[in-house]
Amino acid sequence: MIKVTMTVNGKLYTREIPPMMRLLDFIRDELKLKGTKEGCGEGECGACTVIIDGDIYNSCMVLATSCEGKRITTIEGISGAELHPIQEAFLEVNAVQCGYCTPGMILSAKALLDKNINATEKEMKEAISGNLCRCTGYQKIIEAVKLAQKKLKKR
Amino acid sequence: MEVLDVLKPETLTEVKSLFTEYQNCKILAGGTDLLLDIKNGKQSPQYLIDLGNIKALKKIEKVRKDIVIGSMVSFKTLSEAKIIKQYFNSLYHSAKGMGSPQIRNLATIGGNIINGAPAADITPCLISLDATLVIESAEYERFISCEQYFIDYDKEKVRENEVLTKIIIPKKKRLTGFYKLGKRNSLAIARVNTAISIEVKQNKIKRFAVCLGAVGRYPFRVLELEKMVVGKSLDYLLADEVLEKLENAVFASIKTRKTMPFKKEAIKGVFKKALENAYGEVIL
Amino acid sequence: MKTVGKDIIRPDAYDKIIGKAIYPDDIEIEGMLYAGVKRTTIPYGRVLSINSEEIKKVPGVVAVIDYKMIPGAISHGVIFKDIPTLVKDVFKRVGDCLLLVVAKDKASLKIALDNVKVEYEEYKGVFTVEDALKEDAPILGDGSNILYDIKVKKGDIEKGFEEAAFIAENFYHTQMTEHVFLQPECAVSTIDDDGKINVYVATQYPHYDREEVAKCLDMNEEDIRIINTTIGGAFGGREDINPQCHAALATYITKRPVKVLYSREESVISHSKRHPMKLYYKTGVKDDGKLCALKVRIYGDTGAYASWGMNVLRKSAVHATGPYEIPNVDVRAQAIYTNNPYSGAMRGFGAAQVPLAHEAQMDILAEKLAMHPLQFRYLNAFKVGSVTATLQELKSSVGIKECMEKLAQIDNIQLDKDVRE
Ligand SMILES: Cc1cc2nc3c(=O)[nH]c(=O)nc-3n(C[C@H](O)[C@H](O)[C@H](O)COP(=O)(O)OP(=O)(O)OC[C@H]3O[C@@H](n4cnc5c(N)ncnc54)[C@H](O)[C@@H]3O)c2cc1C
Ligand code: FES
Ligand code: FES
Repeated sequence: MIKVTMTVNGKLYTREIPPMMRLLDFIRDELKLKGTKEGCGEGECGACTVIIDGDIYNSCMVLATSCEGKRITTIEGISGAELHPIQEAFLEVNAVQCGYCTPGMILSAKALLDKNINATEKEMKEAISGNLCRCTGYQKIIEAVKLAQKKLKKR
Repeated sequence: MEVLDVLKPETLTEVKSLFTEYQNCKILAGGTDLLLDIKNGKQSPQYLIDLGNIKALKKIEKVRKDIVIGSMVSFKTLSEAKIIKQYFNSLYHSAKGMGSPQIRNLATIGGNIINGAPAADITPCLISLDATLVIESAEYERFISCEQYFIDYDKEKVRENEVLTKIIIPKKKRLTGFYKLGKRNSLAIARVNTAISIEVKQNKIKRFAVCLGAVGRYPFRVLELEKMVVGKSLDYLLADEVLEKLENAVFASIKTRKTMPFKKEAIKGVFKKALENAYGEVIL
Repeated sequence: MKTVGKDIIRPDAYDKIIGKAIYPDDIEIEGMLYAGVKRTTIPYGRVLSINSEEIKKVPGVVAVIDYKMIPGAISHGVIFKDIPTLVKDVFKRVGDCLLLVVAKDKASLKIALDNVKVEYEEYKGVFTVEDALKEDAPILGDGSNILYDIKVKKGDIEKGFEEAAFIAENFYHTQMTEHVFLQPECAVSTIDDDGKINVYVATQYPHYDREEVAKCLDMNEEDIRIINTTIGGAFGGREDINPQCHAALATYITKRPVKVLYSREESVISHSKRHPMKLYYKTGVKDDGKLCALKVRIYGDTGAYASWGMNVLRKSAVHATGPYEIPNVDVRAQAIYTNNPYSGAMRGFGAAQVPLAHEAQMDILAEKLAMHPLQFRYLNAFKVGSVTATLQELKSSVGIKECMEKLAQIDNIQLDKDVRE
């Protein structure tokens, strides 16, 4: 067992974990935050996407111990009493079907818009290119990211 | 066997001393190859040495006539670095088109080389750019050209007490291009990829390098073709006999593979695309 | 009419965007065990031995369950009960379930499953419909390799072709397709104080699942509850039983809550696939552009087990003409057993394969007629009053011509003008 300390959604956590525990298992099993999903466990689907220090990562491909001292954001950490504009947009344009890809999609969109509020449609497509959605066909998701961009610009 | 610990050195010196302290170690860079290998039982190290905290390995620097890239530079950093885009168009495109945004944030150039996959995207670029690898241990530092590393792989591959620290690429004026044929745009492993580098003098080809990937155990140059085009004009690169040489090289390399008929045809289109990428315009 | 014609927000979307929707793997219960199955790694054969006794000794293992320990039915299936819940001796595909292992945590379960050793007697299997129909092919089904054989006939096919000015005759084939719904299979089962079993699972058929679990455990359906969680995509791939019976069985035997979770790899290996089909199409058209005859033979590779094979091939047969009026039709469709992964439901359910053939035929014939392909289709398309190959009269709501008219507008094609160019 080894000790690891990291900040998840603004809260500092210290845990004793097996050395090979993946960040995904740390989040789901240790912290009981179930919004981060596992679709493949091999870096292919993006369902497990989280934001680490501003960039997106597949939490199934990262060891928890490698996140020592880092700041992690999961889907549970992006809104408080009110929804984040990206979440609102996903609701409003009906970009959600089965919902399994949704947390990862929202986080990929967030990392993009946090860095580049003027992102083009091409950049949006690129930003979610590591997130597979088997239900929607992506059209609505891109529409949602565009709507979110508008909402964020207004704020 | 289970991994007992993940060691997190802060400096290169520490890394080297860990090699002597611990047996059966494996270097952990981005982990995008290694963690899957461990999960699938292809590798079973007892200790991982996580290079993630070593800042010195994450730099890209101009040193005299060379660009020096730290082994822990991620694909994302590579694709966003101005000096890479400025000097090595092929490397820039290769890095940009690799995996997915998530994978590019994690995966490193060093991992791509050392993992030694037939379809690795960076390696053909490095070979065509005459890159040199710097490999260090507690006792020594060795320099080896990326090309030689793969030609003599069994002899030259990094040993358990060694770490790849830097990749040195001469900063010469040349046209470089890369193309990867995948089954889809993102998250595609190359079916065939090709990197080229052209030095031009007075409208004639002075030096030419072409490296093919995913058509053999390791990426390789087509030397016969490289020699043949020296002194010719750029147009000549599209001549039938040039394309035929490529086709023959692929055939010779993977004669018995089921994919051979497809790949020996595909290489011609991929090569043209790599040329287009180098010229920055459509030539087809 | 509160909702028809209005934009409404799906009631389930809110939980999904905040990460609070509960899929089976999000359920954790105090004292929960983990179960998984060892699957066959060769496509056809018989089990000679399994080292179950050794597996029982792996640290953390709570129970090792084989077919003999199943209280009720040892197989399941949406129509024919032919898919082994746990294999007795003969198995017919890669991915059949041999041994159910229950352990106290995921890590022990993995070690235990990795250490299961199976001795097989391997049989020579068949992997194409052609081979399965040969005289000497091993018989995989109930006395035959033909699971299902349907004929759809209308008019006089011979006469139909005699009238034809042009005939197109071709073979087509479609590939096996995997659903890859994003959430791999998972089920959690619990047991109440009075012995009733609850299974939390993402499923397309909770009522079928209840029947199957009840039969497996030899319990009354009233004593089984299937609780549908949020479903992470399905597309037909969650119509057959996958982890349901195993989770319930593990709970039944250990009296503890149990989770069965598939990896992506296991998910792909285990569940049904879209039928690969080989299609023979002979289509005749008269000089005036009207279709006059269609002969079709469809061979669907239904894999190792029946699942929905009958229903899927029936649908292919019924849809074989495409949306076109054809007076003389002779269609025959067969679902054929092989040792491939079993085929079942997937979006379109047999209606997705035939368009490749009937539409390619339409293009080929339009070219022979020197007609615009859209005009040619328009001329033959169903309308209200058309009679299909199955002699169904279409009495209302036939929108295809309207669709074509819209398409024609976009591309500026005159549909009603003298159609020959
Ligand atoms: C979803 C997905 C998509 C991918 N797409 C692509 C793609 O498009 N193109 C492509 O080329 N590859 C692709 N890959 C493969 C992989 O991401 C790359 O090979 C990557 O560059 C490996 O780098 P890493 O930092 O993750 O290496 P690691 O996995 O950490 O290491 C790989 C190997 O190299 C050794 N190693 C790493 N660094 C050093 C060092 N400095 N010194 C000595 N040994 C070292 C490790 O011990 C290990 O054996 C993909 C992988 C995944 C999971
Ligand atoms: S679960 Fe991590 S990328 Fe699919
Ligand atoms: S909504 Fe189901 S995978 Fe995207």
